[in-house]
Amino acid sequence: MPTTPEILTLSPIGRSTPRVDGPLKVSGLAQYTSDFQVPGQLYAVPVEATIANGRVDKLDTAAAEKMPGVRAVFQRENIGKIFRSVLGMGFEGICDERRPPFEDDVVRYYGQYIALAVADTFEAAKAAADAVRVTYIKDKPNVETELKADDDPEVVVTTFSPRERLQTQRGDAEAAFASAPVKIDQTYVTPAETHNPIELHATTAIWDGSTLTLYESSQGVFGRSRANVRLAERERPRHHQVRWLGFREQTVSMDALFARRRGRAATRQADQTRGQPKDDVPDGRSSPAYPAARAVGRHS
Amino acid sequence: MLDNPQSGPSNPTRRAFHRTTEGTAATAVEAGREPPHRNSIPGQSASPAEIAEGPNIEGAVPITLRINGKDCQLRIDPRTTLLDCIRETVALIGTKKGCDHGQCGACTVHVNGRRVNSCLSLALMHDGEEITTIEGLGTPDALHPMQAAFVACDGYQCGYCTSGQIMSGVALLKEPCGPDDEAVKELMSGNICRCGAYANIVAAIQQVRKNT
Amino acid sequence: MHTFEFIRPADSAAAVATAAQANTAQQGADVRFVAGATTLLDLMKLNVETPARLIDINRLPLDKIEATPDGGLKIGATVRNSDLAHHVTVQRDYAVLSQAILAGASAQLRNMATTAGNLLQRTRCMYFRDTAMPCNKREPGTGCPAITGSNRMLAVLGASEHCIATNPSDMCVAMTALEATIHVQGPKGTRAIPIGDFHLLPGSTPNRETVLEPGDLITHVTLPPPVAGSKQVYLKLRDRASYEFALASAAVVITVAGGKVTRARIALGGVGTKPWRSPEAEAALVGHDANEANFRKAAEAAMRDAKPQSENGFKIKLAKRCLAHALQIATKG
Repeated sequence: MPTTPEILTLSPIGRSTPRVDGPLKVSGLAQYTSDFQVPGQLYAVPVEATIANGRVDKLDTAAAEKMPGVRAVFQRENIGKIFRSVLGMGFEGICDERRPPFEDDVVRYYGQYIALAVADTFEAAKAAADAVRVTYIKDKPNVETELKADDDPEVVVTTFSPRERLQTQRGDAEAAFASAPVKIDQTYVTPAETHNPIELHATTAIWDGSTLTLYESSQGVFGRSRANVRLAERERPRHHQVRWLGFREQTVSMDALFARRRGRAATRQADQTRGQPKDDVPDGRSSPAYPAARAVGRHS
Repeated sequence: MLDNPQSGPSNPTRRAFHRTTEGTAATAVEAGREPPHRNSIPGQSASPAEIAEGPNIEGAVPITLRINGKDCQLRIDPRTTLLDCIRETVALIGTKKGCDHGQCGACTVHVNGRRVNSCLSLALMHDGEEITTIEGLGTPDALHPMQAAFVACDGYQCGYCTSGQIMSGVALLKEPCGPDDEAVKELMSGNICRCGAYANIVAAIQQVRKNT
Repeated sequence: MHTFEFIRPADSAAAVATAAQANTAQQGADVRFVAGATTLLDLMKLNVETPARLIDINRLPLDKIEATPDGGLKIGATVRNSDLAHHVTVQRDYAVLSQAILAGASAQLRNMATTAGNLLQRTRCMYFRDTAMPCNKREPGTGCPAITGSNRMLAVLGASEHCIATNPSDMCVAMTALEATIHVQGPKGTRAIPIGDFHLLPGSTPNRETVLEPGDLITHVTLPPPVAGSKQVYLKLRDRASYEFALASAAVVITVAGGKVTRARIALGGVGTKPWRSPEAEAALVGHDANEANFRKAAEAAMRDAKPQSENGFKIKLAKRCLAHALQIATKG
């Protein structure tokens, strides 16, 4: 590429360039997932498994449900149907966890969501989540340092699609190593690292009776959007709109599913207990107060 | 996980960036239908007190917090931390929740001029006190020198720790601190940055110290 | 978090009277004083602490640092850790205290934490902090999973078969070497408790951490007059350069004359179930030459009764080196 003086002055390479989002980030105006708020929104806090492997034996939500401000405590018995996303080509339809939440009573990892407390305030939701009593049947978790497959299949399921395990083969590595004049055979181990951004997992869901809006953080903005739309559309006929606005960072499909389900449950209860939504929102503009709910996760 | 829009259907969802400052363009997903859930900015529209029309909370107690120079009369669950009060009750979302246990510093605000972790304090302990949040330091059109230095020195990546870093840095200007980078690092050790923008954060703070 | 009643008493007497109704002043208290709240709120969020009533002492007149008639220092219960560390008299006459406080926590936490709160700081043991785990300190009789589990950060001194939790405070270690006295106002009057008698070993009752009874309000701490010519050092060793609890720490207050140690007060942190005064190290130092070989001997004496757990045995050697190094810095630096 020609490097004329004109191109050099235009190119950002090698120049210090302030970010366009900088002024917003330094003044607290950049909005992250849990910064979106609607008057009257509900809060949902998950109940997380405290064993690494096993089954939920008993889940007692009776006390939690009676606590002040609590609207519902969802679990397998009362969450209703949650549809799976169908894997397509490429990134199509990927949810980070294939199983919908609460699908069965199996606990596959420490911190797995096993119930969800929904309340008027964060404090009430958290207290309710903490008041859910769970007993488990514990299995021994697999914490081996090496994982070995039981079998040796020719076709394996990857993130994207089923793939043939052996895709290309060239030369004879074993023979080459055996006949090499100098051999170095060493195993290097690095510790497992989990990428945990500081921003908390959260989803804010707003349902106005015809349109569902989800705020969620994701690195896979378009793929996440399509997966969420597909899942939501299964729950409603196609002619209703589903709109999703996402930004950056981690994908939390769990939270989105909960937010949607809880958003709608909240709507039903709002209709029953509160009557018509108010017409005024406090910022002075006149528009309906949309029932909304936020699912608040914790760091993995 | 990288997301390649070219691999998807022909009309990927457009992202809407919600800007709540006047004069900045917002790309609406559909013309004429902007989601009615932007946060109000105290001073721009309603006062924070008006926003705090919360749900009917059992056992709510009344408190008054003077936030960024404005008195906020609130009714809160006594368990409400100062952080959750600022973010949820008063809807000032610039202060962030990172760990909720005083370990990350994202929740740093000033109480009576001193930096504290708002997640480890109850709102009602501060009845009648002066609270300064990131929004109270400056706006994009009138940035505090520390905010401007963070922009100039690129003291962020994702920006989530940034409010806490800036509030800490501003407070540091009034605390005993040695002149060198090591001293600044020590005094800023209560603010973590998962993106690793530390070098630029220290540079921004040192730039302000040099010019003050 | 469990909900609670929030009380702001008019004066110390009212605070004491309300707190006297508590079931205990130890683990499981249903009434708690709150000052900085940094430990208490942390544990309330985890449901480890579930007080039904909180008594806010922040607005009581307990926030002064003043000289005492005998030339020592009186430190109010609600003095913030940062103010204490930066106080001109503390920096000049009780440098080990200033160094210890500044080695702990973060600037934000130091602005919130108070003298009394720091005296009552709770262990960071992960089993104590997790209500899904058994814990003799939280629920006596349920067992100590740390002994057979993860115990890298836990104690090698003062432990029992019931509990091996470390006391995490830096301030207390320095105050121990300074022979501080803790002043308490209780339902039956006031009393003065030497800091060495204030914290309890776990023994068979790890749920009891101090000698405080219901209603006891720490009003202030006094330090004796500074010892002329003493050198003071706080050395803290930890995984990170800052904002991390001690693996091992040492507070030394030592006087040397004519090349010999004439007086020594030694306390260790990060290794004990309470702030660890070491009369063994002191006895090994006093009257002997102030040299590296003797410092090492003193360190050996200090750790002679140390018992390693499965993951923290390294602390024994580390603490010896820490103490020897602190003595070296104090006397040569």
